[in-house]
Amino acid sequence: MISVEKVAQIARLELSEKEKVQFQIELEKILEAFRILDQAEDAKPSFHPVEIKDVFREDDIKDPLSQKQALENSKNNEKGYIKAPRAV
Amino acid sequence: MFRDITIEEFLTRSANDDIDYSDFADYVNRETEKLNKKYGFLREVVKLEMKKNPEKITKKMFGLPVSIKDCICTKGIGSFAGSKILEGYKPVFDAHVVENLKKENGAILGKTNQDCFGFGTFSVYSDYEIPKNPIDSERSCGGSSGGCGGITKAATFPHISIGESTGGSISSPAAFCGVYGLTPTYGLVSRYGLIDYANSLDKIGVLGKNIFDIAFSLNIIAGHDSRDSTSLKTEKKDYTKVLDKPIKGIKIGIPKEYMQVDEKIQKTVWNAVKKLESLGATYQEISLENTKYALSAYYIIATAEASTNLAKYCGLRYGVQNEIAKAESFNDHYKKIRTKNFNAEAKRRIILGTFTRMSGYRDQYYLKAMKVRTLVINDFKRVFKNVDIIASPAMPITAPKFSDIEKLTPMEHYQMDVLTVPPNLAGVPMISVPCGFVDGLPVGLHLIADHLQEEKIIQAASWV
Repeated sequence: MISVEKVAQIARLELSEKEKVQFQIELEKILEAFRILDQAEDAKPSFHPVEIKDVFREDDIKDPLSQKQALENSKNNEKGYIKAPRAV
Repeated sequence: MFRDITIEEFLTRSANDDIDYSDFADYVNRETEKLNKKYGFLREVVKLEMKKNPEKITKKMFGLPVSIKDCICTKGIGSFAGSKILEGYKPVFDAHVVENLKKENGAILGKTNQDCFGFGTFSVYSDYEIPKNPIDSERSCGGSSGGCGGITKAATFPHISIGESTGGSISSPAAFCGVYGLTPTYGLVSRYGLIDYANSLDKIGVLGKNIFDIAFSLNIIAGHDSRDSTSLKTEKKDYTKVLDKPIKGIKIGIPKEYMQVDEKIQKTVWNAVKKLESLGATYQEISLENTKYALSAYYIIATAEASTNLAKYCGLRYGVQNEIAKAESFNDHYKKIRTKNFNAEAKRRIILGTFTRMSGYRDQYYLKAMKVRTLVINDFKRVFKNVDIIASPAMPITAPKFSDIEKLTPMEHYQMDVLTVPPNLAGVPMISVPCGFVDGLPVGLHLIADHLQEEKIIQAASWV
């Protein structure tokens, strides 16, 4: 396995030195157990337990959440917008 | 006056106008507070307020108290999924299942403690209180719907609990607490309003003190909902109709791969099977050959889906929110919120799930796990051509002590799901039925049926 630190970086998590060591050992053990899958036969993948086809609905307008409702749980908002840190 | 009355008695008395709802609510509130102080089943208690008001207290449930797993959205009531990252979140809408319960006048009693996002088998990965088993408070209630199992066992009033299972989170607490726990077919109960763990595996189900409670509740929560694209279009059924229907001629399969557990547990399960045999059922040994691959496939799929689902908690719209520092970038803000508010198990699963989806590893892990899911489903489909139901132990052990859980490595912890993961991976319905005790601790008999054959396991369970 590649380093846990690198994966954590991609997953936007910061690990302490202790966590890095601990997770590296634990995850290597888990991945070792996963290796059993190499012995399994090949098959078509199942992305769901039951076969699911695309679902369409009539293109009707349904009542959405109001702006007030949508913002009800947000603490940092102004003039009906959620404030966010700069993205670039 | 209300102590230990069953749901059936409660419904009959309510229909005959023989319940003083004000007294009933007082009793339930008092008992809930007492039990919760001792065992920590509920993260949040909702006080029942009922007055004698025939207009309000009618419909199918007559004000029956219902506890709801924390990961299911309840309008205006905190829904944190057991995680600090969602602390303070009060949904502005009800989950489909909650809407259905409210329509029939179910009364919400509170939100149950659970492993954060359903990440666990013993509820020890809760960021809030860890529920204690009412049979022995040094032991776990199971997980991840641990609070659901505990309160269902301990409640001295008529009550049901709505739980959720991804890989065994209803069967585990039902078995460890000695109650009934039904995980329906994937898609029978809408997932609209469920705080997802792994979308292709999550199922909302019910825990109750007896089989009537389960069948009665399933009638209320099952049904198609267009807001969940995986919700199945099925006919409405009355699951109470099959209760006590003779089981003569029913064929039971006993998977040899599932019986390699503690001898005493094995014996207890065999006694239950023999009882069904004495009532006219027959049994035969069967083999589910791909069982050995199911656990690994499950943990790959579940963590892959969880790692994407948990990406939406950015600390801006709901749940935990920090002041936005002036010079801070989005990524720094996002990383800070996640690092601080996801516990170690959540981080472990996010990292694992991120890794198995990464370019270069995806085919080896994620895609392979999807292929193995097909093999596991085919195993069940093949077996159900010859038998009506499968019977096995629900869990390989009885409720463990917290001091023993602490000693488990993550992989040993995951291995506790070895019996519940295959049917969960295949999305087939299952029920854990109390079938006896080993050293004073309850054992669950697991009954499994083919997709949408809930009636078969409910019928058999009514004879255990």
